[in-house]
Amino acid sequence: MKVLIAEDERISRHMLQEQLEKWGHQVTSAADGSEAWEKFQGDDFSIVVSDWMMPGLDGLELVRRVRRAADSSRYVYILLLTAKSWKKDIVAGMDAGADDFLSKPFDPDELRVRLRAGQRIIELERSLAERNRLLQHVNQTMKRDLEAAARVQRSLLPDEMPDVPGMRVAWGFRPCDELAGDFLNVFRLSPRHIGMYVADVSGHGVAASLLAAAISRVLTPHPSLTSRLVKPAGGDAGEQYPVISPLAVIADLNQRFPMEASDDRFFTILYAVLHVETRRLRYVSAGHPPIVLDSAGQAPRLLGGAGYAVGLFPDSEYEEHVVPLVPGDRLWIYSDGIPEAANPQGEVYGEERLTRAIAGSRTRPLRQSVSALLGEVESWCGEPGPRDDISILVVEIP
Amino acid sequence: MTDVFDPAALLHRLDGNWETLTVIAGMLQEDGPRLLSEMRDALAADDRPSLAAAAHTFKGMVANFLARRATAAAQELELRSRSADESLVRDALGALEEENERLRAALDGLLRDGRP
Repeated sequence: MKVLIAEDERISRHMLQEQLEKWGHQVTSAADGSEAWEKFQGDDFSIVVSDWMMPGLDGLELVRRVRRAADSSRYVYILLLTAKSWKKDIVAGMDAGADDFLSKPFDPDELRVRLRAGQRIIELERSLAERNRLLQHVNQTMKRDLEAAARVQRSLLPDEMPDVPGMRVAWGFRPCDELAGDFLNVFRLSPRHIGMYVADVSGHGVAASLLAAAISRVLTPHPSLTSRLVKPAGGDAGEQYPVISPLAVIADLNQRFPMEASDDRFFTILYAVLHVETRRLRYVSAGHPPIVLDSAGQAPRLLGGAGYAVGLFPDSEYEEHVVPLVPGDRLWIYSDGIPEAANPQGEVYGEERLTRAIAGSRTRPLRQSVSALLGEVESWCGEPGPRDDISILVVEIP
Repeated sequence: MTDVFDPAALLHRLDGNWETLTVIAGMLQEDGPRLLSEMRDALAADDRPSLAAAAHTFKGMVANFLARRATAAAQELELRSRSADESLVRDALGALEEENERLRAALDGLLRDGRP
């Protein structure tokens, strides 16, 4: 190892250097503290052996400077040579940053074993530093992968709203980690039907987001033999691709995604189909928070109906509800990340605050209302922000 | 000689290295008188801190030879350097000069006579 000696007395300095070189160390000597400090800055020493009392810059100050200068990737072991033996002096030396002491005149055997202890610490520190470097590299790789996965996940969110005369849609999505367990979509199912859902897989992170991706692939509106939302034959009369009822969709999901086969995860979902001409909304809630229906001239109300979450029980029964919508209605579907958002004191945001916020944004354009609600929940939670994913989907009949 | 230092113990400390002994004995011949001269000048100038520092360095130097009496004399001077009574300081410096001379002579004898 590279050792720096700071010793103003020539014989001591000579003997130390000779002894250390005999043990295979690369030794640099300095005749006083200032010279030692200059030399320390010019090379990467692992060990410093310093006399305490030296003219000018003494050993204690040298120790302090070495400690201040040493970077976190490289530990420097410091041995103080001293005739001082009082406890207060030892305390002062170690407070300054010395690792060990050696009394003068030094005993070669004692020097050897104390240096060996120092070498062990340095080797341990180097091993830790290398592992940290590897960990950082792995972390960076994982972070990049997570960011890429998050981009893929965001690409599954609706990028364009169905163009339906007499209907407006807005949505908001705020994952609490890079990857979310929430997902939502709104799409045309047929010339006369719009489908929509907000879903929430239990937990969050990679596993929840993978399941969310798998479920959203199944809930594709594109007609095919594997589609769970439209079928090439059967269903509503007069449709080229009949729309499958929300009840049948949820029942099917419950069979396809049992908890035991999904890493013990379940999910809540509210799936709705809106007939754009009759404005009749059919929906099924599987353990999901209730829809808030905000009608003009009335206080917002919670719509009923919530069965078990999907995946919990194979024989769960669900109920389909029908709501006629009229002009002026706003339909809010959201995940429990909103009502269950907790502030720093642990108080939850709750349904009452939610309905108040919705009522308060009545006169705002739809997108602004969604942004305002997201902002309000974030403020409620304070730093570092909501601890669960938040999804919001709003449909308005102007 | 052994009341000045123990030759066997000294050589054991030097791992039997006669060459090292010769080198450091030569250093003592140069540095001992120099440090003593510094102490005399410091006393004459009533510069007690410099006197104490030189005595401290001298102490560390002779301790390398396991020279107990010379080490003790240097320690005594280092302590007495703070004394207001100059005669005590002079006495301590005188005692140190004598021990230095004894040590020098003992080392000369050892080097002349060869290994103990």
